[in-house]
Amino acid sequence: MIKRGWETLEWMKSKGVQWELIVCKYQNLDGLREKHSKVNLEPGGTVMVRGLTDSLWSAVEKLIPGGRMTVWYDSPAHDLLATGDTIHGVRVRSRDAFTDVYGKVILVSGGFSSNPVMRRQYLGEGWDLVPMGGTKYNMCTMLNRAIAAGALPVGHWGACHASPQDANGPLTGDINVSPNMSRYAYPFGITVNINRERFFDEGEHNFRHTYAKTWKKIGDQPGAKAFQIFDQAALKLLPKGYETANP
Amino acid sequence: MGHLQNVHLLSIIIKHEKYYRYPYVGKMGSISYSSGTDMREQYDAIVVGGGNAALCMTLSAHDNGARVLVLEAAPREGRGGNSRFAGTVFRASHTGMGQVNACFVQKPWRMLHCATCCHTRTKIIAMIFAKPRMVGMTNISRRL
Repeated sequence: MIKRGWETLEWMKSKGVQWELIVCKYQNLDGLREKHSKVNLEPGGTVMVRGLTDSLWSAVEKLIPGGRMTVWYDSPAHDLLATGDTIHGVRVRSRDAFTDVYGKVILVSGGFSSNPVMRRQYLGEGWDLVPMGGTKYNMCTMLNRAIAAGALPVGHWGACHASPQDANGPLTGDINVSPNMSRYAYPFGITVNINRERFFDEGEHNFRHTYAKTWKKIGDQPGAKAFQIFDQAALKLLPKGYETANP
Repeated sequence: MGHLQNVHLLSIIIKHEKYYRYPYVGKMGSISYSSGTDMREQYDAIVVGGGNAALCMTLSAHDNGARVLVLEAAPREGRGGNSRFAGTVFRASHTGMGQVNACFVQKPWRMLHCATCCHTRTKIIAMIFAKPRMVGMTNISRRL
């Protein structure tokens, strides 16, 4: 996977994925206008893409008239059709009927991020109530069905990716709002809890090295809340998403 | 009386039309393949999901000649799974700035330099030219 990684990105490009250098995402370029200055990009995470799934979906849709591509929306897979260890197809759930489809089954469906029962079960206390920044369709149905059919569960079920998000963000993912709710600029200011106390080293490293563990530090504070405080000099460094924040 | 019976029969047929269309609906472990296989919804590959991995899988299977069905749980406007919400920053090993640069479809940056810094790790320094003149950047990582 490592050896053929870049090759895969190039293959995705051939399908219409528009790669770009990761520079506009977290830095506010408008705020930095000194001549001849530059930005260092961190090693790793070199490229990003905007509208990834839009590009891939258009590539898929272009193939539909060819006759070998069929797409069913609003069609959650409900179960595997199996005899013993053999999987024959998928049962699809629609409004008042099941439809059975037959063929080689490739499960590429979501985990349990949208399922509060499973979040509580596997991640622990409080996780049923967290605001969730992704899709609302990841109910883990087919992963559960695969395990029920005899698949071996592997991996780390007791942890997840989480990050500091705006306290006023939506409870479930909203594509027009959620992508602007990241609050990763804490290295440029101080962060205090509701008792006005600082509780971690905001400048330990570039946010890329710390954001995925900072949620835990915030989560452990009273009310699982914190305030990021910046002075005027730092405002120009804040990413665009901060414009949506309510101070 | 006979007429009424016919109506009743017709309503049963209509009511159970879906079972005529998909006659092999059964519980797990009780599927019959004995007859009428031409009526089955048959594909080479059924891809369950609509995010990045699913779509790459779909395109790859189609490239290789398969007849593919994609099952997306969401309506069309909600398609894309968590990939649609993700930051979509990718990490992949590459041979240097030349290879990275070749991957960009459009080049908003007129000039890209690759430079190595201490700790033997590669840092990419992007000198960015925007609209009329260079958009300056400060060295953010040094400020921290």
